[in-house]
Amino acid sequence: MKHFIFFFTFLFVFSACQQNDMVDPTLEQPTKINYSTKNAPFNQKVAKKAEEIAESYDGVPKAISVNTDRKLLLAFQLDHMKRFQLKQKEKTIEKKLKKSFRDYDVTVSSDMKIYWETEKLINKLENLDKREMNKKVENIIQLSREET
Amino acid sequence: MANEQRKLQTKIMQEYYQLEKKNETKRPVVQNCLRAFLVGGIICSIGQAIQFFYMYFFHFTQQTAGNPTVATMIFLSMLLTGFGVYDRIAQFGGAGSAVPVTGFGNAVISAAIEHRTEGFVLGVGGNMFKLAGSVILFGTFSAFVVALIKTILIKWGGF
Repeated sequence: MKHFIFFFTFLFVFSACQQNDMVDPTLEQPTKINYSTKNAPFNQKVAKKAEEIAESYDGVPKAISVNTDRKLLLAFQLDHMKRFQLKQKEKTIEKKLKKSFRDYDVTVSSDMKIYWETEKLINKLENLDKREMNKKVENIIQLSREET
Repeated sequence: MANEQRKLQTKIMQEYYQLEKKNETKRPVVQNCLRAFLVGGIICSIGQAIQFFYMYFFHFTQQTAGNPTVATMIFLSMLLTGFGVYDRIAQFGGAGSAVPVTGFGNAVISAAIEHRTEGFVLGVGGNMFKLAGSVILFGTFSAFVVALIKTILIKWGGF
């Protein structure tokens, strides 16, 4: 009896691993977050362009970005199996963005918290004025630099 | 090496060895590994959930959420050890419950419980870190060695 239980547990665990190999058509194209930035205090063209650049990299399914007049903040998610190259990817994207947007102070982060905070900020962009937005972006950048 | 030593043994010793080998209970290695995998995996999943909790509801990033998560996991395992639940988990999961950081909490509290009859100072205070002391010592020392290697590589290796 015990052997059966362990055999089935074994089977269950390893069949769960196999499941990932099946291609789910909904996962092929990551769902793009739709948000309106028409009435944002700063024009978000730069941020949109930065998102496109980041998403063009292999293993980056989602990127989210916001910009003020001087600062550009980009947060991205990385495929699980590519996480070994996390720091390297972060550096490459940051370098590319710094090169593309020389007038901006670029911050790139792969941290989940930064991603959530940026997403939250983008969702309420239209209700903010320039001063508030500057403050919020600065807060997120500070958070991304925290080490302890 | 062991076989060479056995050749030097007397006949009775060799016979006893054979008898011992025949009668000893075989360790269910695969079963133990599976149990450790499951229990360790469940403990780590709980840890991951706690980390997400700290990240979502508090002002912690993925990097900084590690500290409160470790503290919470140790605290929980200390409570469970006090209530006698963690012992049962450890009996089932073996290394799966000892290797994660929760095993540290278990080692501290189980030593404290064991020696409480000897008094608070010499008993609990003196023996609390009897097991966990080595974890702290070798943990700190290995962290120092790794930091040293990293510093040397970064400063001189140009990485």
